[in-house]
Amino acid sequence: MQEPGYRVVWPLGKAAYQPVVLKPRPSSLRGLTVCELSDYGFRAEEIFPIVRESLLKRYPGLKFIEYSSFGNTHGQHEVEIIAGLAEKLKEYGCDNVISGVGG
Amino acid sequence: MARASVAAEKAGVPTVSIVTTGFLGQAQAVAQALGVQNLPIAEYPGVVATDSTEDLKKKVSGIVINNIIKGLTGPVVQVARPKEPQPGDIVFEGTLDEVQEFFTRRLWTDGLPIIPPTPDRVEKFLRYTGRPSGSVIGNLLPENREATIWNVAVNGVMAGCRPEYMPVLVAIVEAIADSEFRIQDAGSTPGWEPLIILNGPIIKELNFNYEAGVMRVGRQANTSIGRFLRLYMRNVAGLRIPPMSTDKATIGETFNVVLPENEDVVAELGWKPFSVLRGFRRGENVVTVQSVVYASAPIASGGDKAHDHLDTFVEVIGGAMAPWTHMAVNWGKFYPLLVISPSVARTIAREGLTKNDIARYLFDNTKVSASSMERLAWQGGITSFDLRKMVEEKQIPPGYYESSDPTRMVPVFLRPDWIGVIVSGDPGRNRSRGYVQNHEQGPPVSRKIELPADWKQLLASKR
Repeated sequence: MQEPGYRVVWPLGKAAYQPVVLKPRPSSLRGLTVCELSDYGFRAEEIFPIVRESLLKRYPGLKFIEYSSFGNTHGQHEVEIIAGLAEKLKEYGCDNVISGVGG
Repeated sequence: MARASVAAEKAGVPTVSIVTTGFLGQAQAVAQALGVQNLPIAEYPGVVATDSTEDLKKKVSGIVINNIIKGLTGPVVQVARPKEPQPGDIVFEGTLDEVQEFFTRRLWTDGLPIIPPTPDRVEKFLRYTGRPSGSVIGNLLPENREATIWNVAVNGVMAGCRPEYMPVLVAIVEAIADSEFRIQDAGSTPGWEPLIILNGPIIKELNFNYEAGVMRVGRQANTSIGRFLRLYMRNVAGLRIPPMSTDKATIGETFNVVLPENEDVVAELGWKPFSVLRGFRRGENVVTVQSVVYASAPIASGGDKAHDHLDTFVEVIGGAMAPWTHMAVNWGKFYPLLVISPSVARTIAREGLTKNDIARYLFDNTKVSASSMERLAWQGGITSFDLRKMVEEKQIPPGYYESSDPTRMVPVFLRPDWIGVIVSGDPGRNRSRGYVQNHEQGPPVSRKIELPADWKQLLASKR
C-alpha cells in the first residue's frame, strides 16, 4: 500500500524589521567621546573602569560619559531608557558607544 | 544589552558590545532580528561570574580592549538576510516520515513528531475564529516575527490540538504578544517556562482536566495546548535551543500543560475565581499566561484549622520562593502562584478566610536573611545589587534596610495582591504547590477568549 503524501505549509511568520545600515567606523578613536551603556550586571562595575583606564593609555584625552548618565539598559526602566537613548546620545555628544555586559 | 546597542546604531552612533563567549550567538541573533546584521562585538572569553579579579583585569585590559578597538574602528560588514517563504506557501510535499524529517532539519519542531500542517487541516482551525487569517496579533521578539491568526492555526495543528481549541490558542498568543509579558526574555538563563491558567465554562466544554493529575500530561486539551505554546515560541518568537542561540536557558524547564481552576469548588466556598480577582467577570472565559521558573515541593498540609495549613505554606512554599526573591527585588515585580487542592481550600474557607487572606498571610510571614539575598544576587549576575542603596533611592520599601545587620530578615514577597491563588488538583487529597514566577519576565497577562458566533453549533457538530 502506498503511503499518503502531505503538502505542508510554513510554520513561521514574516520577519518584522527594517534593515539598519551601520555607520562607517572612524579609523582612530583619538579625540572622540566614548559613551558607556550598562545593564548593571555581570561585573560591569569592575569592567568599565578597566576599559576606561586601558583606552586612556592608548588614546590620551579620550572623553568618557559613564554609564550612570544613561541608567540601567536592562533594568526596571529599560523601555523608557532605550526609547530616550537617541536623544541622550546626542545630548552628550557621543561619537561611539561601548555597551555591556552580555552574559 | 544588544537591544541598547541596536538603539544606538539606529541613532547613527557606532557601537561595540562586550559579550561573554557563551552569549555571542544570542547577541547576534537579537541584533539581526532588530535589523542589524553583524553587530560589532568585543568578546569577553569565558564566564565572567567565575573569574578571579586578577583574571578579569587581565582579560579586560588585554583581549577585550583589543576587541573593543577593533569593533569601533574596523570595517563594517553588511550581510543580507536569506529569502524566506511567505505565509501559506507550500514548503514541502512528502510522506509522514519525510515531513517529520524536513521539519526537524529546519528546527521547526520541538523534538517530538508533529501533525503535518496541511492547508485543509489549517482551514479547520480557522473556522473557529471570526478573524481573518492574515490578521497580525503582534510581533514576537527575539526573532521579531509576525504572530498571525494563520500561524497560530498552523502551529496548533502541528502540536496535536483539536480545531475547537483555536479560540484558546489565539487568546494565549494575544497574551504573550503583549509588551508587558516580555516574550523577548523567555530565553533568559533561568530557563523559565510560561504557564497557562484557564478560567470559565470553556474548561468543561473542551474537557480540560482540573482534578487528579492536573499539571501532568495525559488529557488532550491540557497537554496539546501546553505544547502548542512552547512550539509557537520556538517557531514564531524564534526561541530555539542549540544549534540556534536565542534560548539561553542554562538548565531549562520544559513546557507546562494548561492549569484550569476548579470553579465548582471555588463557587462552593464563596471565593472568587482567579480571573475575577484579575478584573474579569465571573463566567467569562479567560486565559492568563505567566512565567514559572520552578515549583515548590507538593506539600501536604493537615489539620482542621486554617493556620495549620497557612503555617505550612509559609515554611515550605514561602521557603521555596526565598532563593528567587533577589530577582524580584531587583526588577520590582514578583507574581508567585499558589495552587491548593480542594480539601485544603475548604478547611481554610471554613474559618471565613479568602484567597486574599492566604496571600496576605504569606506576605506578612515569609522572610529571608538580607545576607542570603545579597549573596545570591551577586552570584546571579546582579553584581551591583545593594539593598541600602535601593532603599535610599526609594526603589524598595524601608523594611529591606532597617539596619546594617546582615542577618536581619527581610520580606520575600513584594506585594500581597501579586500572589495568585488557584484551587485545582485532586479533591481527594490535601496537597499544595507553589510556582515561582520570574519577576518582570512573564508577569501574568490575561485575555478574554473570543468565541465565534456559532460556537455552540460548532461544538455540537463535533459530538
